[in-house]
Amino acid sequence: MPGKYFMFIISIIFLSGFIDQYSQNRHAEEYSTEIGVIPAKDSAFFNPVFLNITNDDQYVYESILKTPVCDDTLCQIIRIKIFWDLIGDFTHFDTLAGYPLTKNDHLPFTSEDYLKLQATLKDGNSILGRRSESELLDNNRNRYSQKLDAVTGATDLQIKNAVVDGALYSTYTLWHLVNGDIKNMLTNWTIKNYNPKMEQQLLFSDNTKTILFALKQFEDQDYEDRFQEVIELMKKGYPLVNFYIAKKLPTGVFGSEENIKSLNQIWQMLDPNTKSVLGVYMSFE
Amino acid sequence: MKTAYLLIALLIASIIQAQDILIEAESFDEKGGWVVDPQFVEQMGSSYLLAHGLGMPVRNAHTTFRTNKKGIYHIWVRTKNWAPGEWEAPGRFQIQINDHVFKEILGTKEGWNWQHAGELKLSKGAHNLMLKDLTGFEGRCDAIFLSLKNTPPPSQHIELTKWRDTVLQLPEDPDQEMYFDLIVTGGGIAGCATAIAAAEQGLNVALIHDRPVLGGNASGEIRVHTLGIYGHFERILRMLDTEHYPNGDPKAKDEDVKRMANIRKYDNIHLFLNWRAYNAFTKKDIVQYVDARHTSTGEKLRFMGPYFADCTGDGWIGYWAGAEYSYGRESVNKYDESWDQHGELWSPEKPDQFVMGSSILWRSYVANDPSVFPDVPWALDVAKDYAEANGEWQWEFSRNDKHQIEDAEFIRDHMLKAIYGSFYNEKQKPGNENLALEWVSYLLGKRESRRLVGDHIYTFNDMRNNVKFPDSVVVEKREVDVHYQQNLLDPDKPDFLSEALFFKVDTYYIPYRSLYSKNVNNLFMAGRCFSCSHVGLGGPRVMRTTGQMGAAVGYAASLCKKYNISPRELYMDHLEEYMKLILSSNDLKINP
Repeated sequence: MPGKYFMFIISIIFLSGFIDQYSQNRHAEEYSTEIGVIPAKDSAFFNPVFLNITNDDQYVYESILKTPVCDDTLCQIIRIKIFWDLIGDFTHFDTLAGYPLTKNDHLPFTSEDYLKLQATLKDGNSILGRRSESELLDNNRNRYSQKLDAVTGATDLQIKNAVVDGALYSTYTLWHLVNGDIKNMLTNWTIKNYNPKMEQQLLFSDNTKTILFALKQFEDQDYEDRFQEVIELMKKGYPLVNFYIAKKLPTGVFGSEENIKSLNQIWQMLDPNTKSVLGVYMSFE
Repeated sequence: MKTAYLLIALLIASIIQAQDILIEAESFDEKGGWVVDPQFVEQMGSSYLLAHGLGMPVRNAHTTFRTNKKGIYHIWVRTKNWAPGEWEAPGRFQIQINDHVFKEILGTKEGWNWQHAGELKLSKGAHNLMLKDLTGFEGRCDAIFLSLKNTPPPSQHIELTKWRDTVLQLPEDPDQEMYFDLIVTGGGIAGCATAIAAAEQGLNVALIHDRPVLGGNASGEIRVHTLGIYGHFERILRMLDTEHYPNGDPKAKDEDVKRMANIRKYDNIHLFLNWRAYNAFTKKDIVQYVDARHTSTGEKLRFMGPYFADCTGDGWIGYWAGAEYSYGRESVNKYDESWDQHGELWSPEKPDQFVMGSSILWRSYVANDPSVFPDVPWALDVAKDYAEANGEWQWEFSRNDKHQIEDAEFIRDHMLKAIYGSFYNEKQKPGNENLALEWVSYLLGKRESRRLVGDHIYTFNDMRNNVKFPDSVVVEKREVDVHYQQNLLDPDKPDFLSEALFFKVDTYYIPYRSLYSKNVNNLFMAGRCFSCSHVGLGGPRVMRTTGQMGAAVGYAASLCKKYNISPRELYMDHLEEYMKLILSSNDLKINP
């Protein structure tokens, strides 16, 4: 760690630590359950994560995230409120009053920048996940601005397309924090505290991954006992969900004429992959 | 079974008359703008001529034939409407004999079948035959049959094959046998590297390839750039690989020239271009020979030798030889290959028949003058309203019910519909009046199909745990990269686009034991048909890596020959010498 950077971290911990400790504790009182912490970059801070229930009665994980963002020459602190779903996938963020995100050191994010950041953080398959910080710059075109994040024209094209222009390190740091180890922590917490309300939220969400998560908690017998519920789910037409269900359905399901009739009724709305698995059990007049 | 064959033989005998004439389209003297397509021989029975004109009718194909008897001949043409529906068939063509153009429009019946072109009085003697393409959209002609009897030839695969050989008076077995130290089937990067490494060690090598150029997916015919590192074999692989140009770049043709020149430097590599293997015979778990047929003339050759390398990609030699193989995605639990972040997309809880799909690359350009691209109603069921001017690796098709080998023609045609339809949509946009198709491959660039089983099955865990083996012959750093179809997550996406999932890894190693068959004792494999799981293929499937496999196999074959041992015995008894040879590859002073 460069000496300048180390001194910076020490300084900000001293200078802002007490204030932020107070701020986070006060914040915590507004939430239902604190479930753990998300360490900031280089463990400069430890940000509490809470499970909350939204106004429309949905579980959500959230945290006010404070983290340093640094390149070799300069650091800054960014503060942002992050939300995750029950399987630990980032959903969205809010800015905090008095703490707008900035790029090129001092310029505030535009609306487009915020949209770009939202899209990038939500992309769990982003190239940012496969690059170390030292790989962000294209060494063949290594033209630094002296200021943080103001790296223009020096980034690999794929990286450049993935980040907010002028906010390379902010985007990169946030991506790794919201898509990193926190995911496992949140998923594990959900599994450990799984309840019917969570299951219904996941099962009837509009997200393939969350639906699959709920289905993976099913026992084989659940598919038979709750077959009509499964049919309702299949009607929603998520191809990967339906393909998964088709492979998982125990053979006992196909012994019931009523079940076969239900499948026949939704047959036309199924995708070819799902049909290719179920087809062997079906008879068409 | 014997009874069935006897019945077929009797049926054929009753059909065939001495004056019947069968003309294989791929053996035409002048093919004009038609191209020979040998990709689907195992499914539909033959190479065929394809009118691949990007929407412009291709130049006529010509040949001559002789009749032994004058009379009124019935003419049948084996062809196919490849996009049946409520529109004119896209691949329409006519035939002409001497001055007579037959009115029947061919290529208009669904599925491969004999379409009756008409009748014509012919005198005894020589005649001219011509294929006249009408559309430039993949009209296809397998064969033309002329008979004084009004009876179509058989349509079913087994009957047809037997009938074909009888009419053409082809011997059931090749009448010419050739002997080599190593028979390499498949002239992609893996096959070429196998041949070079073995040849440099003094082996007499046959390299059999079903195309006129080497390189497989890297060739100018398919145009995928090579990825991966050189490992221990930089000297050899630099003779074969490509620059990192965009996929589809015509520079791939320059690389073909380089590759061919380098292979031809080796006097002991015997190159059999345009020969497609169709059989491998095994006795007591030893491959005895591989048979191949010329893709145009239909001639047959038998390749015999002590060692065989399957570099076909589809694992054909292993398949025919009875080697164990796998296909599809294993259950995540089989080899413990989970990656929670991508769950079912990465490795499914229940096994299935999904694999990474096949691609067709394509390009357009802005011409100096406006051009018209024909209506393609037959393509829009697939393309829908998707519009695009170029195609990269994401243009890929895989479906659980479509086998990458058995359904390859469907997959190729599906991709062609996707391309022509998307280009048509793009062309309708204002400002695209000068946009024109430059190049569309007609050859599938496959990623995954059969994977032959070796003594070691290479898996995701070998990569993520960076397992070093005593027989680590291949080394790679590339991310594990597994594809899925985009419409699995979003049904509104076209079914011909894929997405890649990348798992970042440090250096990983592939053992020699993944490069020979577990149960066929003289069979090596290199390329995407090496011994691995579905996810295990995700990293090493790119062509510098498969080239490394090839070089490792070539060296292994040389030591097997030296000691007269099996590939497995090399691992058991001569590993130290083998690894020394591998590690010295770049320092070998070779003057081919």
